[in-house]
Amino acid sequence: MDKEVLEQIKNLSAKEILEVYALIEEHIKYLNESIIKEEDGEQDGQNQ
Amino acid sequence: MDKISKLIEIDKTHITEFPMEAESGTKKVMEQYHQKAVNDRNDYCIKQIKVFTQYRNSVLSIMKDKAKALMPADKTKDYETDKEQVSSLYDAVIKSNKYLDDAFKLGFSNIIEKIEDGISLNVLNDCLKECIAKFSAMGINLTLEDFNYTMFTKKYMDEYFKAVKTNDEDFSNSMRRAFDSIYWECPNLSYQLRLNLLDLLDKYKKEINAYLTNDTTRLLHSFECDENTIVNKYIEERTKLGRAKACDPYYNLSKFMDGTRIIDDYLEGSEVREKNYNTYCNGNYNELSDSDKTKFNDACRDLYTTLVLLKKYYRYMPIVTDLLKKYAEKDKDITEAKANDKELDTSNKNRIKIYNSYLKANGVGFLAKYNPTDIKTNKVKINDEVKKYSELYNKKTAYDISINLDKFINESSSMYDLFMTAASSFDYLVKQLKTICSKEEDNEFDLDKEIGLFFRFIFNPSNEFLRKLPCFSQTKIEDIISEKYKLLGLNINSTDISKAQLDDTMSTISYINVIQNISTSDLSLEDMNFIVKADTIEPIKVEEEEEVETI
Repeated sequence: MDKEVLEQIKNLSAKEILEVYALIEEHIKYLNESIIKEEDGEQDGQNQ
Repeated sequence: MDKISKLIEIDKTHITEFPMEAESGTKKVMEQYHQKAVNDRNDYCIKQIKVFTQYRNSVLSIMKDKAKALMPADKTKDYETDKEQVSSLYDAVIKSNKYLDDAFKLGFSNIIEKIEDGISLNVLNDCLKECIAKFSAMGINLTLEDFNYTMFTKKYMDEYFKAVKTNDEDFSNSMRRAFDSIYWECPNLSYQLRLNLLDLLDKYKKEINAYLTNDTTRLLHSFECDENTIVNKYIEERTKLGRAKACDPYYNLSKFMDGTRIIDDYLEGSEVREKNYNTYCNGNYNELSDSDKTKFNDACRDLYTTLVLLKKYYRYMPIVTDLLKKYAEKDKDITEAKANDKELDTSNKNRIKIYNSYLKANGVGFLAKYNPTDIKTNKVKINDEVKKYSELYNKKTAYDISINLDKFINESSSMYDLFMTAASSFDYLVKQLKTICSKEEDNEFDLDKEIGLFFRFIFNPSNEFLRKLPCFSQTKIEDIISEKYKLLGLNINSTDISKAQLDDTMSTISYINVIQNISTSDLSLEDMNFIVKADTIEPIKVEEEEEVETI
């Protein structure tokens, strides 16, 4: 993470830092949920 | 923060707008296209997860540093000095109290109470050691001659003093042998030693009283108080210390960090907070004016300390019931007590006579002649006499409380006066406390603890209702208390503070007080929330250290 951004975060209030953290956590969750699970074996076999 | 939000927005747009299907082509081409799109999209997500996990860890590191900086100091050691001060004041309150006898004030009662038949030898010897040390501190150096209550107590203490004098390394075994050598002739040796000690308290009562008077005067003088003002001073200091600890940020934070309290329940907007504030509020707390909020919070603080005392009052109520019953029958007891005292006196004199006869049978004294038959007979006689004495003594302690009720209680006496009267007879109080404990689950009787709890109850800073409530009043205490707090603006009724519901009510009021206490401290609830959250989160290891896009 960029040093400037880190410094900005350091200067935030406790509540605001928690909000930044929550935002990042939420996005990681979103990214995990966006991962499409492998299609079933029959289809894979067909693709091969 | 804007930069992070922007990156998140780019990510979300990229993912939602990712082309997943070919616009045209054969079925096979379209399937291949779709599969590749899935893989590409997933690869993107996985890559971004690593990027954001690193961001997360960086922010977490900032959080932990900031939490460390916000962490309040642990003032536990600072409070120790104040605690000692309160403890000394308590000592002065006890010593200057007119209801309590000298033996209790000097700590003898607690020690002697532990001596009964069946206790371990180690406990017996420790009690003897403590008592002898207490006498010594008063300038009374006990010798073997002080333990001639019976020939058995004398024999045991002879071995005791010898072992102490020679600094016997094998003290326990020496005393075990002494005890065993006496036991078959006198199974009640422990109890006889108890009676011996009680006898010594009577023998030296003038010296004890003189010592206590000097010590009390010195203590009161050190606090610039007299026996009337010392109680208020104690209450004042105890309140101050209690308040300081309740508002201490380190203390409150530790309750959240160890999980005793759940911080999310205390934050503004939480359902629990809304519910608790409105339970005893007339209307919606959030809609009250600032001044009404202050009044509400102050009333809750006051109510809580009263309820803490009320809970203890409910616990000790059997004592009130028993004393009121005894008060009604006191005249009969007082008459019987007089006759009992005469019998006690006679029995005591008989014991001394038997002992002197025993000495004579041992060849001690003028014209004394050794007579082994008389020796044996006197040993049996003295045991019988002591047994008779102890029965009379037990009756005396039962009558004592009636005598004290007659002395201290009248139609205008308060609950406080009644409880103090209970305390005036140590034996009565111990018996009552044992009965109370026996009815409580998992509460093994601990004498020192229970006596301490009882006196902390009587001298509680919030004992106004005890001092004001007449002991013969028919009005229920929960009605009086709930009416007071209704007048102070709380939506509370007597059922809320009945024995059955008191714990729930206390839990709600305590919750409000915690928030108020935190609001007066240097560390806000928000900052506490921050510290708790920073403490509970751990960094996540990013498996592959890659060059990641930075913001």
